[in-house]
Amino acid sequence: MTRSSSFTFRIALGSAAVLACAASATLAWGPEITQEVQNPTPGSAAAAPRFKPLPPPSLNFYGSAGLIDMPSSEMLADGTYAVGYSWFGGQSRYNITFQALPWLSASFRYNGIRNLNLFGFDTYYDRGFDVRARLWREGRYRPEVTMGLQDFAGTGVYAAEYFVATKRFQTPALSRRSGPGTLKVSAGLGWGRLGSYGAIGNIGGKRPTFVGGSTGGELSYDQWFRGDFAPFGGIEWQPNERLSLKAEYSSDAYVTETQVSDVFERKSALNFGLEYQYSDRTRLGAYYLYGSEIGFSAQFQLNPRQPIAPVVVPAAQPVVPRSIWAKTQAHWGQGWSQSQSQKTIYRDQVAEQLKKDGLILEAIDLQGTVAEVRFRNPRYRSTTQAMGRVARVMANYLPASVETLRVTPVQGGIGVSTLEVRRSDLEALEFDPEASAALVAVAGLSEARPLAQDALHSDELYPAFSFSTGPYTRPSYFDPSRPFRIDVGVDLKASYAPAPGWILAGTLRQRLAGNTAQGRASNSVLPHVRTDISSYAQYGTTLENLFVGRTWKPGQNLYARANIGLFETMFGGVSGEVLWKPVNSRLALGVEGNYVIQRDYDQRFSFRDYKTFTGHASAYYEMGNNYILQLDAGRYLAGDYGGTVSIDRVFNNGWKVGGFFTLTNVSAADFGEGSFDKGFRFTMPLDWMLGKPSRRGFGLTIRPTQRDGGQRVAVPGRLYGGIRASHRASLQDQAARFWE
Amino acid sequence: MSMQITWAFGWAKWAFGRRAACTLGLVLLAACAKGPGEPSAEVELSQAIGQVIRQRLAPKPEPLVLTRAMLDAQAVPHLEVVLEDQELTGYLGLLLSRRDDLPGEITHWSAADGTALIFRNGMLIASRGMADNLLSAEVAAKGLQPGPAHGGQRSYQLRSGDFSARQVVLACVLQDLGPATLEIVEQSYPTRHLQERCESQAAGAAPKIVINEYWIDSQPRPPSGPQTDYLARHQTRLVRQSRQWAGPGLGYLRIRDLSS
Repeated sequence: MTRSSSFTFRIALGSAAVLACAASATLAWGPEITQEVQNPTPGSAAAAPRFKPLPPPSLNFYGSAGLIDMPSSEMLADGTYAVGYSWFGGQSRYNITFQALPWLSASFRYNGIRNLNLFGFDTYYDRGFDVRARLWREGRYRPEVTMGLQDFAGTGVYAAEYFVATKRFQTPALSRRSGPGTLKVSAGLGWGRLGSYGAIGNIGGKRPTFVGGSTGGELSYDQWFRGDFAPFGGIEWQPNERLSLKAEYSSDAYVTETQVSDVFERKSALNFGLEYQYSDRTRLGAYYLYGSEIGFSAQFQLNPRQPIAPVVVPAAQPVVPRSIWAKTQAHWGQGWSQSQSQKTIYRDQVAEQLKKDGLILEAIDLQGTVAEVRFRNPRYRSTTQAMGRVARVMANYLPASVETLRVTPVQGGIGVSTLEVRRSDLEALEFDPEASAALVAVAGLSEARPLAQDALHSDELYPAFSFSTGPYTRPSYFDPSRPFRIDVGVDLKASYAPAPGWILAGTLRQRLAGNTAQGRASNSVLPHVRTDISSYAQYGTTLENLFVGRTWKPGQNLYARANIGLFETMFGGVSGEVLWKPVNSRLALGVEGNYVIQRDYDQRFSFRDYKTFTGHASAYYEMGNNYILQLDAGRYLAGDYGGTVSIDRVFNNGWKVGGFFTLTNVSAADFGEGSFDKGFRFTMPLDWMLGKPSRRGFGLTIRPTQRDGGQRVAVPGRLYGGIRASHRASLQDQAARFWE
Repeated sequence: MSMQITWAFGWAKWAFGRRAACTLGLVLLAACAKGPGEPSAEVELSQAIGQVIRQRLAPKPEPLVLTRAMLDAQAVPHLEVVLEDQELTGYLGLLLSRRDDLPGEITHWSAADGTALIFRNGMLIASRGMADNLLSAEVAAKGLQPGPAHGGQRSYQLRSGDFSARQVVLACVLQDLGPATLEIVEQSYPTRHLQERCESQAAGAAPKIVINEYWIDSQPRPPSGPQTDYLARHQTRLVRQSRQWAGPGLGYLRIRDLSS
């Protein structure tokens, strides 16, 4: 990919700015590292089973597991998200790697080469994607082997392909206290950049070279494994958990940097490095490269499965079995169900207890032996956990005759699913050795049925007015003159809910500081549906959104939403969506239609001339292992037709990492830099960082280039995410939380 | 100019210098929310930061000095629990004692801060309100006999970082280490010392070892303090003191029953 345009797109609820502050202000980024104690005393915690993961492999200058400038075959722990920075000889690389599967990783890189003085830039900035697949694991004699494609879809300044093998050996302990060390020996064959020095053969003749400044963005498969190939290799010795010594032989001649231009001087093919594992997540390194340059790197590895602070939730009240307190016949009567006032007392008791757990009672339906509670969950990420708390409150505060408990989470005023569980099962299973699995076996999950006529609603909920003030940040990436821009300021949000399912909401925004307004003007030949970011950024006090929304359930397995108003910075209009999602199905289908008008740059009540219809048919599929596939087809904001493929990995604890691409009938030339729309996104949950329950997170969507093709309007309250969270696959994945 | 983004945690300073970072900090702390709507992440984060600051500023509580008179004045029996790894001591009051369909009496002890420990015949079967909870466990209970009744398999379900459960299965050997006299807050108790030595059977790795220890009253002891179901039922004997493993996150707990 080439030079950049810049644009901001905030998908979730905040961004890295706040994250950075949060991390530095509240988190222990301490220097403790997990150490394997040698010969621990039986009876000590060190001798007992441990869940801590193995030490992470070290990364190379490209952000993949490896040596210094060369890769190794190692993979990160499944799900790990690695962020790294490396620098040498005026070249800096910012790398993000995600280990998508145990055997597959993908990286995104943004790099700058100072003084390249080519293609019209002093400093050449570029973006690229890598993908690596492990072909087989390490055996007793057999090394682990990995195939990698580096910068495989860009203009390919770093384009290379390789096969690399790594074998680990144990080395003797240096002292009695430290454990044995590890020696990793890697060797590989590289093409492209990695075949440019000391080539030993050639496949397919001359390899097409990269053209700086071209559109880029398309898979350069005609180049893969073509041209000269050369061997590379090296060793990493880890005498203990903290230190690592590295030496490698590089097959990268740095032709462009040293022969075409004069970025640095390559005097040798040997590189040396020393790395220090500061904490389980942080690793720092210093290097001497190519006989002339000093380099350094910083690596951070986050594993979504290893929270920075595990969530602590106060214990729920234990189930008090009816056998303890309902000892006489009178306790078991159903006479109470005829008395409205008695039912109101029960409602208020339940509401009060739910409030202690941070939950909100929407309605309660009390019959003689059956009770249903509808509740809102603003607190727990896991709906299962909220359901477990509601069920226990019901078991402790409803009359003894009630045996069937129905627990219905409510989202946007509509019941999303109903968990049905027998009270005697709750009483019997709370301290079963396999309490979670046992509960899953006896609980039933079904669609939420319409609420009974005589159900008691909460008196305090409607109409309701809420407001909040808080900071916002809006980053913007990859402008060649300044690759990172950001605006920060304050949002004032208010909402009014007159009745279940209805909402009127708005956000006033005041920018306090920022530099997005100095971004580049759009050069797009399509309607400027997304690229006028700097024009929009000229105004400091804006109305970010103001809309009326309604959600309802039009029929069996169907959910619907309608909105009218100003949806986002750039568009307002009308929007409607219908989603089909049976509670127990992994598949969901939806259609959405929007008629939108582009808002004026000042983001108040006026509009520009551009109006369009945009809408999609969507299919969502929960593939298992927390993967969700989403396919959309339809008409995009610039009037282009096409489809989007997205894959997200949504961890139970709220971590979300995914990627997407959109192909439409806009030609690569009309689309501009990047040729088609693509990007990746992630969300880091707040509770994962803070260790207290929260449903919120900080997310970012990063596109290598923000253009106008393949863009969708951001409408508030899209249905799928919230509904999925209360349906079978998601509830069952989190079954362990029911009793917590 | 050279590129200056860092993906990690240094860039706020770069972006606008310290002043802007401070502005942002102030804005964060000023965030607030009212009404039943869900607060935004920024609001929750600022509240959390405020809480951390308040906690840091709050004076440390004085360590409690226990006396028997103080314990006798308690309306409910209490446990003293020490988290060995974190050198934390807590006092938990009995909230509920009950039976279910499995052998043993379940006792549910809770502390004011929302921590709870649950035992079956004095053997830890669950923890709540902690960072790495023991979700559930299978123990060797028999009738109302305190402590482990026999060796054999024990299994633990433990919370792991991704909101899911992980199982640890151990094979245990029960050993009677003979009589021991305990002194708990001005009172001495003749007990028998039982040890449960458990090994995990992970393939290929060195076996992991857990050792649980129990000191169980040798003689029935009529309670001198307030009468409760728990004590009435256990007029026979109690697990007076124990050291039990609660999983890799919590480590070992040292537990003393302070009831008179």
